[in-house]
Amino acid sequence: MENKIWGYRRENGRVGIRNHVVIMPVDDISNAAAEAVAKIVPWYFSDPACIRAITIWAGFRLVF
Amino acid sequence: MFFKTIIGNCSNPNVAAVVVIGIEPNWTNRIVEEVQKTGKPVAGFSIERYGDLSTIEKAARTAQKFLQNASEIRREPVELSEILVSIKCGESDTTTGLGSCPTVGNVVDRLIDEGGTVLFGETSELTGGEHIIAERCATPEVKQKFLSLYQNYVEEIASKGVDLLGSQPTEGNIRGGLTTIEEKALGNIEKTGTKPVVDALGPAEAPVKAGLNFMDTSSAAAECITLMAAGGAVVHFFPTGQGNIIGHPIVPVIKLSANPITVSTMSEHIDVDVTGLLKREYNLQQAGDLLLDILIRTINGRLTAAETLGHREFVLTKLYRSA
Repeated sequence: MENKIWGYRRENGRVGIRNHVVIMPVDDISNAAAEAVAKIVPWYFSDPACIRAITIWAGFRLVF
Repeated sequence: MFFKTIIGNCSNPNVAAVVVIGIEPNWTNRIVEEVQKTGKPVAGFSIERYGDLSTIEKAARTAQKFLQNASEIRREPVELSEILVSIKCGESDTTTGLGSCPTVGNVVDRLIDEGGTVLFGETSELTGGEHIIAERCATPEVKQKFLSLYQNYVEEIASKGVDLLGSQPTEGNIRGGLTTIEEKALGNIEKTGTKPVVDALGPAEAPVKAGLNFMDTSSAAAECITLMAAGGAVVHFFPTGQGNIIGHPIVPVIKLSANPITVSTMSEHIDVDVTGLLKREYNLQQAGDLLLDILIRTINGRLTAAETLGHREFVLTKLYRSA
């Protein structure tokens, strides 16, 4: 069993285990732009960093 | 709830930097300002008065810089107790309560013994076993808080004229041999281990006490994990019986199963095979060793099955909560 543990210590002291750059849409109509940004900046899926566009498909007016 | 979920996910320590894109500036800035409090790089762009194309160019230039900067951040030695773990099971069957959930419970106990913090939830799926959780609450105040959250959720479901038994156990659960919601709850609770419940949190709320924390969440898998990610969980244990294939964009989801059919027919989705536990090839502590080993390797960078298959389920809680 591996014993040493390695993580990313963030500015506020919290520890993460992935190093994502997130493109977050605020509403469903911003999905297209968020996904386009993630396509322009080629992301790669391993350490040390990757781009993730989160997609909000639900009608945002329903979730408040 | 919407802002808490989005802001919480952007603030999650698995995220190095954030680009927020919204239709108008006010809500976009509201998210940017809250995420800025973590100290991480964050920038917001609104589409009104610019259009998609101009916004995409500006946001992509910023994303490029953020990615370059993030690529220079290196891992450093951390303590296991600093890793906030969440747990939730899905597509449960008879093997879940007997194999995969007790394995998670074993590791949860060991993490808490190390000083760690673990989140569990699934408010409506505790039905029939809620008294067991209530008895494990560390203080009368926590017990009262837990029971109040539980009652509110169940009453909310009832107020819509819906019978929880209409969807619980689910069709997948029934196919897997579960007969009642109580039976399902008892299997579900196995994964919480044996430690006291130190706090009862609202949806997407970050824990402040080390130990086992309850969070009031939906029992729908992606919605639950999204709320726990908003609370700061950085890795998730997902015991499954019939084979739930879930992942999350920010939080690696480690799936384990004790069902030999699932492990052989859906092996690409399962990170830890604990069928040997039910075949009596090894004991619970040894099954826990297998899961703990994968946990540490995943923390150190090993990709989960869900990450390699591109599962990135992100689900917001709706105005009317799903039961």
